[in-house]
Amino acid sequence: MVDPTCGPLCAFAGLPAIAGSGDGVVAKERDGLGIARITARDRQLAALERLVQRRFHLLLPKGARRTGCGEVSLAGVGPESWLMTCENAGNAFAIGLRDSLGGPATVVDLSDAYVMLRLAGAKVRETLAKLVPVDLHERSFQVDDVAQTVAEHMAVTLWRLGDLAGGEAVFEISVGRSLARSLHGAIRESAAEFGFVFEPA
Amino acid sequence: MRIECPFCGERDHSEFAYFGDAACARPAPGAADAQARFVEAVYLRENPAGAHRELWYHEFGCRSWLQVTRDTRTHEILEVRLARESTAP
Ligand SMILES: [Zn+2]
Repeated sequence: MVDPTCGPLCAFAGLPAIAGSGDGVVAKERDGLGIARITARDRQLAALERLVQRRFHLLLPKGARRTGCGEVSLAGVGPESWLMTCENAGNAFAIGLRDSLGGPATVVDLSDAYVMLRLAGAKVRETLAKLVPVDLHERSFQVDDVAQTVAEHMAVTLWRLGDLAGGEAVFEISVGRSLARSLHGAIRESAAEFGFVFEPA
Repeated sequence: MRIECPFCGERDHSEFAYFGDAACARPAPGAADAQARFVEAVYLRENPAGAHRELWYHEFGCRSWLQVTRDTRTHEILEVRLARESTAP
C-alpha cells in the first residue's frame, strides 16, 4: 500500500490498460485540468456574463450546453451554474477565477474533486449506452450537449466534443475522484467486447 | 415514471429524490393558534386522489429543487417547474 500522504497519486494508478482485443473504445485520462464550478450570486447573472465575455471571450451557455475558447471551456450544469475547465492549470485556475469572477459569482475549486476521461473509438456510443440512461444518438445528444446523470449508479457529468476528422464521436466523462477506479472498471467491462485501450496520464 | 426537468430534460425518476408536499406552508410560530396550526401542518395532509403538488430534488442531475404536479392515481406528470421560480404555496 502506497502512503497517500507522500505525494500526488494518479487516480487510475495500476489499472488494466487493455481489455479484449482491438480499440473500439480508447479512454484517455485528462490530467492537469483546472476545474471550477461557478454559480452566479443572487441577481448577478448579467454582471457575471459581462465579466466572462471580457475575460475569456465566451458567452455563458444557456441550459445544458458547453462552449470553449482556447484552453478554457464552460459547461452548463444547473440554473445559473457552470463547470469551467482550463488545460494544464490545476488549482491555480480556480484561484485566478476567484479574483476575476469572484464578485458576481461563487467559485469552487474542483480540480482535485473530479477525474475526467476522454472517450473515443468506433464503439464509444455502444459502450456508453450500457452505462447511462440518456439517449446518446447523434441527433439527440449533439456536439457540445452536456448531461449530468448516472453511470452504474455513479453521478457523472458527460459532454460531447466535436467529432474527429473521420466523423467519430468524442465524449468526456467526469466522476468524483474516489469513484475513478469504479468508473474505469465499468467502462472497461462494457467496452471489452469491442476492445478497450486506456491511456493513463 | 419520467420527470421532465426544466434544465436537464426528460429523466427517469430514479435520478430524483422525493421530498414531499409542496402545498404545505409553514405556520407562523408566533401566532396565537400556532400549536393547532402546526399539528394541522404536520399531521393533517390532503392526500388527494389526483393532482398533487410536490417537491422533488434532481439529485443525480442538475441538483435543482423542482415543484412537480403529479397525478397520484396514474403518476402522470402534469407540470414541472424550478422551485426557485414557483410562488407556492
Ligand atoms: Zn435537472
